[in-house]
Amino acid sequence: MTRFGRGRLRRILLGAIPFLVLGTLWQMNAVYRWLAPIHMPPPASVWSAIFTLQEGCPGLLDALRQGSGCLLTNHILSSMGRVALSLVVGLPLGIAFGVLAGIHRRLGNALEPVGVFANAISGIAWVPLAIVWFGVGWRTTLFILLNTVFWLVFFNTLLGVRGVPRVYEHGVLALGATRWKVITQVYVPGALPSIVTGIRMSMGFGWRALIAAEMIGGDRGLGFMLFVSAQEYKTEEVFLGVLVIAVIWMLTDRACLVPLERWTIERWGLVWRPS
Amino acid sequence: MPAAKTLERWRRHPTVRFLALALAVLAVYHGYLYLAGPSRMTDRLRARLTEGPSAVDVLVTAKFPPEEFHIRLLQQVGIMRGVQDSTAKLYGVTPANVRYVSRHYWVRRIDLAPN
Amino acid sequence: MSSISVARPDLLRSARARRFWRHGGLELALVTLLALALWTAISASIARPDRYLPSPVSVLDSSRDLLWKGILPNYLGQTLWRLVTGSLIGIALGIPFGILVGLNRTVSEMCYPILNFFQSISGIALLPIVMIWWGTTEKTVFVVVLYTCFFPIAFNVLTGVRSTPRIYVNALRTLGASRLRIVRDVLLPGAMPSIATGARLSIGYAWRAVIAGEMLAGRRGIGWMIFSAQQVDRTAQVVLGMALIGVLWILLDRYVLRPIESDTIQRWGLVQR
Repeated sequence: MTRFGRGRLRRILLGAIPFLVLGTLWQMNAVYRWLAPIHMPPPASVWSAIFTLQEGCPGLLDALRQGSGCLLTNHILSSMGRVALSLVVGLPLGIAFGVLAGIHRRLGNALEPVGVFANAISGIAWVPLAIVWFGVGWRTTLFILLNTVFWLVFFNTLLGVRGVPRVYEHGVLALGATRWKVITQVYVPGALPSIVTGIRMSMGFGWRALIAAEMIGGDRGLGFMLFVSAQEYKTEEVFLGVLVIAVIWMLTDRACLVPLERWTIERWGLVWRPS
Repeated sequence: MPAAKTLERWRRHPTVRFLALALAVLAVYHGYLYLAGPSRMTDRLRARLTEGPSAVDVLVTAKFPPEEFHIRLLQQVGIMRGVQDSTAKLYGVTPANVRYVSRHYWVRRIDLAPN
Repeated sequence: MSSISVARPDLLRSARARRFWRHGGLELALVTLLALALWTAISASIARPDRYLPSPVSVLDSSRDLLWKGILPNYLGQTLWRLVTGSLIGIALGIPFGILVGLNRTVSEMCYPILNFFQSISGIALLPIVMIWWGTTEKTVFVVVLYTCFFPIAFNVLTGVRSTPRIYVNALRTLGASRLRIVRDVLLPGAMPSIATGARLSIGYAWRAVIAGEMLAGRRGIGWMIFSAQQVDRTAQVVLGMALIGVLWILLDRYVLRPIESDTIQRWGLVQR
């Protein structure tokens, strides 16, 4: 009864109460019509919007292959695909540059202001320039996402590497390690908690920037779906999209990122510094 | 005295100094605009305004041909009747709004419209 | 370091100047010059610079033009006004809410998941719904900024109040303190670091929400300026707007938000684990 004991059960039950209250109010609104359906669509229509959007979809395989009728899954897969791609490209680049900048003091001092400025121009402000360069489409949204992910991971890696006490580097060097060994055995593990925090932050900001970029300059994806549905006043689709976004983020954060962070701190937490 | 020392610490605080600087700049800027307002109105407009009319018709001359931004702004204070070179004709502007328009630094002159 | 100050004592007389040069000031200056030079070079070598990458000089020209015509101060003022009003009211509502909810263990356990839920729906994702409700008015952007600011800080304050060690509360209770006294002397100071961090987070989110709101809801401001300039191929204005956004955020973060946060943590950070 340690992991799923009474305390945890109590928390789950208590935490569910506000959701139940809101859900009940929502359903009552559908019955009593306090707000017009165009402003607050009934839950049933939001649920059926899933099926309306997926109408032309032959089956699961076609949905995975982004077949033409499966609108909802297409948008979801587009957005998540871009997130995955930006992680695959942005993470290694960000970590590599961050480690480099953390080790060479001069290079770090030179790159840090660039990073500060690039970060300060929040992802969404890059959208018009990205549209000029890449046109409206997936390249723009991918660029925005990569931008956000790279600079945040770079920054956090830089801070993490800088925070590793030099004692460890000297100790390993005294035992005859090569430069490469110093990097992989001292700096990367030492900076790992900061790196994971950076991944978590970049996912948080990146997801928001992606939705915003898809709204303004995208042609596919959840943000685009939200914007187009709002223009056509299909409120139930907009509600559906918002719920999907919330669920995806909560799943990613709670199920992947937080445990990853906790595991990293448990394992490498020796050199962890509060950020 | 501890109170004086705290005040000294507050005065050196970077946020306090930054905000004070920002507020000072804003105050000087708005002060200048406010004071320079009347100089942009012609004498006969000012004379007409002292009579306390409910609305006047004015000719707003900017320092350049007005663009969409300026036309939108002018349309919010009166009914625009046309633009010729750098001058826009506005009907039905209340005296308060005339003063408001005069405070914009891109306005060269506001004149009473002849009719 | 000392050799520089001996060679050019006039340049480095003040302590602040010395700190600047020592902490990477030289690299900052060099990288800025290098970036500007690279930018000008790339801009001169591509096919249509005024569309794809206007040179720094043309960006400055467009800024002069916009200033001369009184457009830039107006837009700047509008954007900043929306940010300040929305975020101040959002924070002013969020802090008491977080404290009130955090007082009682049952209530805070009830509200924690739903606050987390609404915090994960960014204000920008909510913008289409709010646009259906209230169209492209000022109210839309204000409500979105308010929402964006409220939930992060309420959530942070809630966790801050909950994570104040109970031992302090109990200690005050044994000394016979009233509920109000406990709030004032233990919970409020204990939550101060979370309030400061939450405020900084909230205003960061709100800044992005203001820009996005202006772009999508068509309200005049810096965000709208870069969006509409892109549509008429005035890329110099786009770059100018981006530079302004970056500079404004750097000023706001470095001179207002971060000092307040580090001061608060310095003063009240004892209770922070």
